[in-house]
Amino acid sequence: MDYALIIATALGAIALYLLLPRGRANMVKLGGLASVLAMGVGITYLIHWTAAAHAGHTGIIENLFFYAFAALALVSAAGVVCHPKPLYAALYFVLMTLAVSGLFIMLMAEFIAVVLIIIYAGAILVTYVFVIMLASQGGQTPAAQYDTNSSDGFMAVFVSFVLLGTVLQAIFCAGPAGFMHSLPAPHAVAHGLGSLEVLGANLYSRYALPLELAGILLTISLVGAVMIARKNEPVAHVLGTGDLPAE
Amino acid sequence: MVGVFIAHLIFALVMLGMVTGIIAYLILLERKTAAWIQDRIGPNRVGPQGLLQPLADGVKFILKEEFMPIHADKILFILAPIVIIAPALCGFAVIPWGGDLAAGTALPKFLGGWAFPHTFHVMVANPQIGVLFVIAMASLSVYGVVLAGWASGSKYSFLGGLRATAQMISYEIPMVLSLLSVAVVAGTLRLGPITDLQATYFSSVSFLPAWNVFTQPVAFLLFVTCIFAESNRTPFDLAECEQELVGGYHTEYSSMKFALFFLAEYSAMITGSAVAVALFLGGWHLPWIDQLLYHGAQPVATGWLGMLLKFVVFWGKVIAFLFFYMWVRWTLPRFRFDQLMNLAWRGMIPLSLATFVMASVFVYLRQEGIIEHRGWLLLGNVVLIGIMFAVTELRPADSGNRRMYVLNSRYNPIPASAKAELESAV
Repeated sequence: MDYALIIATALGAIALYLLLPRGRANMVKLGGLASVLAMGVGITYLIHWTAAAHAGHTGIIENLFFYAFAALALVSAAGVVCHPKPLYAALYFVLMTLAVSGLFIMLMAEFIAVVLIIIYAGAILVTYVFVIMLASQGGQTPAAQYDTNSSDGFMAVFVSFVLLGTVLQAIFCAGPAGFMHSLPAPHAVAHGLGSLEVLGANLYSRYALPLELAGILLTISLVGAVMIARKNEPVAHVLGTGDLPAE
Repeated sequence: MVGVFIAHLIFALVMLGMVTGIIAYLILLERKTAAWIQDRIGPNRVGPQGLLQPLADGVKFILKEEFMPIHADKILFILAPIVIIAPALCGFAVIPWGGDLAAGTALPKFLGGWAFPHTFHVMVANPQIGVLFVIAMASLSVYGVVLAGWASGSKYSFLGGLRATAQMISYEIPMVLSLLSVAVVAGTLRLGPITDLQATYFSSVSFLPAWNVFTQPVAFLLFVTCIFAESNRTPFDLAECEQELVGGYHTEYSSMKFALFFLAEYSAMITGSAVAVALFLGGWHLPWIDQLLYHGAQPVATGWLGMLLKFVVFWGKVIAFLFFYMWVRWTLPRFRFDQLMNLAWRGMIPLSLATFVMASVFVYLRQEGIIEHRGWLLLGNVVLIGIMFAVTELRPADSGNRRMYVLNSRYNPIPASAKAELESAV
């Protein structure tokens, strides 16, 4: 058991619960304070932990980038669930995708990083934004009640943070030595694991069958989309209002 | 290490200066081209031949009143111009514009005379995912348009934003596929090597340079069409067509914010042309003259003079391509929206898939050692075009321009048969 970690997780849970949008009194300021505290505790813990893991050696620039991207990812992830306006929530999702792809680039996994941007930010979220735009038209129009209030906020926060706490305990309680042991060394990652050639070779040899199956699935869904989108041609295209003339 | 960092910093600054400087003069070029095509004189009052016009435009933009509609969403309204210009400029980072500097090339004396220990790529960044980076930045540029359209709180902006989004999403697919069919033949996603592979000829006697535009003309055609659509220019400028939507998604913007939309459009054009030049038009390769200068194909790694030559050639090609952009804009009329969507989904996406499959088959046959020469790829493209025309003939006739019947209309009354069916349906 690691009490600092438990405190950070609990603070995070309280912060997120307070920040969730509700119809009655908003406790955004209190929630903000709690989230700052939670992140403070978490970052302090992480700094101590990495210092122990590397026996005092800290690559200060890489760590700075890591903390910046990680904080951005956390804040924007909270923004996704906490912002009362749906369009802002979707945009926070885009920001989170960018932050996470920044973290991937730091791990030398450039391909995953760019694919994350292309697929999530460039395709899926554009569709979200498109739909939200169509649903709620423009500017300062107030959104509907069901869009602004979170439903079952307590249960959601409770379950997700219990899960998060368990995973964090499992990772960090093994101690720096145990955890670092199970990871490939940084230079091994730099010289191949993340590179396109290795990825491609693996995809087309070891994982050829899953890849082909995914391809077939995509083809089927493409055909399905075409079938759904196909219009049943009506007899006549009628514009205008009013009843049919009564002959 | 520090030397390499400084060199990259210098390249980044040179590129930023080039792009923003060129944008200013592109606007003048655009107006001059328009005037030339429409048989006018064009701007000629500020400076000799109107050459100081961009300066006057810039000052005017800054001095204009900032206006924000009362129904606008303030944060997103301010964010939109920033979001649209950042990816448009970022995409340029991976463009190779000067080949390589050979190992041992020394910096000029006043910069310390420090020599490069290894061959040095003259570009801002050379990640292994080059082409994908370009695609990612292009896909992010949709957000600026969407946000501007939505945040303005105006119907014209909103409709413009909707149209632009639908169009940009649709044309992204054939663009990506045409880029990938080039990358799969080159065997890499880095833009540098893809350019380097083109700096040669079909064979020693042939005078046709082995640029990708000659080996894969179909992919080139698809790509050019798509970058026209991605930058929302005529004939694809439905998002901002003046006759219907005032100004489209940037109707409500004024002053410097409007200027940023303008800058973003032009920098997207420059990046698009630079990618087209690097991937399809041989990049820095100077055809025919290189045989006089180097007695053969131009080498990839050269000293400073060679790099300067490549720089000039590359930008010459880019500016020629930009002129082509403008030529098209002032020549072709605008598409109708259903024609636009049909072109993308029923024409270009199947064709680009076919191109991609054909390129993959070529790569497979080359790996097996069955065919070697790039000419086979050209032959495959010609066959593909033939098949496309044959299929177009066989396809059931498109209903094309449908007649819209309007109730109680004198010109398009509902035909009697249709009316009976409609009544039974009601």
